[in-house]
Amino acid sequence: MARTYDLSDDSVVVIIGSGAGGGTLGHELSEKGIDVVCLEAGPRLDLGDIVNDWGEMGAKLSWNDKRIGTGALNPGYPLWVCKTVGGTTVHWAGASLRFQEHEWKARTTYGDIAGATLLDWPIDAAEMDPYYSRAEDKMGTTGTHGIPRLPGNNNYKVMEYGAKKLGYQTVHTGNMSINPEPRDGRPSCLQLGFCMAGCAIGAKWSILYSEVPKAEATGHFELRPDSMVVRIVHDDSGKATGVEYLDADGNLQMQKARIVAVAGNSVETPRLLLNSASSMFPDGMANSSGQVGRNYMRHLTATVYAVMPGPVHFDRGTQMAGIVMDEVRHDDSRGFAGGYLMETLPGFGVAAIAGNVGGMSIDTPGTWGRDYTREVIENYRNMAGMWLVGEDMPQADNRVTLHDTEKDQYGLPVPVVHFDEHPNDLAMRNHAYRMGSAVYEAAGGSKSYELPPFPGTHNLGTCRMSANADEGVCGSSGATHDIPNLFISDGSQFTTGAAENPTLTIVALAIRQAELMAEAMRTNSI
Amino acid sequence: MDFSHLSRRTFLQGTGTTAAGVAITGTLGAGGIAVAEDASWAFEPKALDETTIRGLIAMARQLYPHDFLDDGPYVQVVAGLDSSAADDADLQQTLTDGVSGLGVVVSGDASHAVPFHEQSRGLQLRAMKRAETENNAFFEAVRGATLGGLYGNPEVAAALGFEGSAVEHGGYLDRGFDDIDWLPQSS
Repeated sequence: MARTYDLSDDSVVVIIGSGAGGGTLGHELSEKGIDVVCLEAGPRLDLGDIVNDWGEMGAKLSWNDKRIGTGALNPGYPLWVCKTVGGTTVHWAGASLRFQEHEWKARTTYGDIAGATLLDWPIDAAEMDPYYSRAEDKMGTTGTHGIPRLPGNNNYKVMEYGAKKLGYQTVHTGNMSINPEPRDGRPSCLQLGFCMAGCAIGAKWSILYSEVPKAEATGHFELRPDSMVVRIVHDDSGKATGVEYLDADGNLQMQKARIVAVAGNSVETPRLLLNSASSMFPDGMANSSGQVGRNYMRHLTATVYAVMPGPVHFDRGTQMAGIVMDEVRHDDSRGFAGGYLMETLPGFGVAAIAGNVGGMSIDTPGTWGRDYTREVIENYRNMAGMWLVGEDMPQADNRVTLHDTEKDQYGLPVPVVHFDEHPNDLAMRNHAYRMGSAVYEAAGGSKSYELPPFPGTHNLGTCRMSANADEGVCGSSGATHDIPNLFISDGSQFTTGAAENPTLTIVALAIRQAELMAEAMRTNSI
Repeated sequence: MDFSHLSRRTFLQGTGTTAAGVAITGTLGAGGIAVAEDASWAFEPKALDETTIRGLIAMARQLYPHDFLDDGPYVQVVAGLDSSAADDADLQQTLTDGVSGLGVVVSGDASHAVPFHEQSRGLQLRAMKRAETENNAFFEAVRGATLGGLYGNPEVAAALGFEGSAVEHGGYLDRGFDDIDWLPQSS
């Protein structure tokens, strides 16, 4: 049933990227009868390719093309995202939380914070409410639409016990897009414990098997995997007219388009706009504001592992098995703006724990040797773990740029991602470490280890939405301020990051964008 | 994902056991070599000489010692390194030179050659700490391979409490995902 389109067909919407944003947009448009060509840089896997092995899936799913991190980032591997059909929805943990009302108005709520480039979103909570509801229904999010919450595993029970002992109130197994019972053709969760290696049974919502087959069934959607877009092209009026991409055989192709929507995650999206510079747009497409690539955010993030008095076996069951929400509010009295969440997260296997705890926490007897193996590694079965995720401040100089000389395997300049922390980020993480460790101490933990951020999985804000054209790259529909038929359709749109895991919001924005785009096409305003 | 030890190269190799594809055949050298007496963990070297291999086995154990393990899993780590070195002349050189450097006991202003695998535990630790500072590329190459190879070995991981692939067993829904019994009931 999947359609194919001619390269010369200039009536199609071309979507670059098949992740949470691009995949959702493509499916939604195709359901409305709009013809879509979706170009995905990575390969198309199926459930049979997904195995319970961290090393194998890390190599199979991850975006491993060269990137350079500067500032506080891992220099050789600043981000941990995916290059595969479905994008990061293949490896995401499934947490599906709405923004809080005030997070849409961060500048108004938090005030003027020195060094931060805060803005209010040009959308608000009331406007997003129905789109959130549709996203939750689409994804089968627990705790919404009458879908029960998942049962909690051992790692959750440890966190829940400690959190309640400390007096935390809002503690539960989360809003997860993982089926607690069969729904929408997908089975119920068997508590495999490898969510972030890809769900081998498809109980977790993913664009790969949830949206793409439905889009193809409409007869209005063509997916081209292994297709790396290298440039967006435009006509003399400045309108986008198509994209150039390298196909699976490395041949350069040119697909014409009526609309181009970019959804390559927060490094590839601005990188593509910068790589599409022309004599008309010498600083890159949609970049008259100079904002393309700026305000890169990656959430607070931190990890606390603790050695508990008995076995936890934290690899058993869903990885993000529960959540403590009490600290997610905005409360200036804690000494920082915004809030954070505690979410259970184990350690991706013994090899990763053995490397990460010693390598990233200061509070261990070194990184190797007898004292290290006895204190850390031989306590593996008794470990509990949580991830701390909160809002980080946008800053103009945290940005994606192109390397002057280094090229990747496609001949494109390697992206350089710079990130340094804002004092607010540090103050929040300090609080989060203290409270996270306190949770485990309250549950009887003997020792906890504080780990700084892993390479970013929540990458946001590099083509942000703004009411004023000089403060961001796109407007409230995601259409760029400069080029009305060029859209930003992924987390790059985020004006601010909020505390919550971003996928639900990316999906809700894509559902909304599909409506606005379809209306603009119907009225011929694009 | 081992983010602490992450380079693009180790990331691509992932955490899978490096020993899975190693042929367990033949013996390591000749002449009553202790590690070769148990043929179950001997292997046919492809790239590295005997002194280097013996030194690497000793180093792998000193890096991540566990009293419940015999030398087998450490030998497998080194078999993996030997395999990698067969396709990578730079790595072969790094490992050979690195172990050679470990085979020096420094005492005052004098240096004495003592093969690393024949050194006492304390002398080995001194040599390794010296290498960690002075020859970090070598040290980290062996440490990274040991982390991935030793703890990626399913039997070692299982002994430590990581139970491996679950999908073929129907997950943990009926196999203890919520079986914690030492925690007081929360209210």
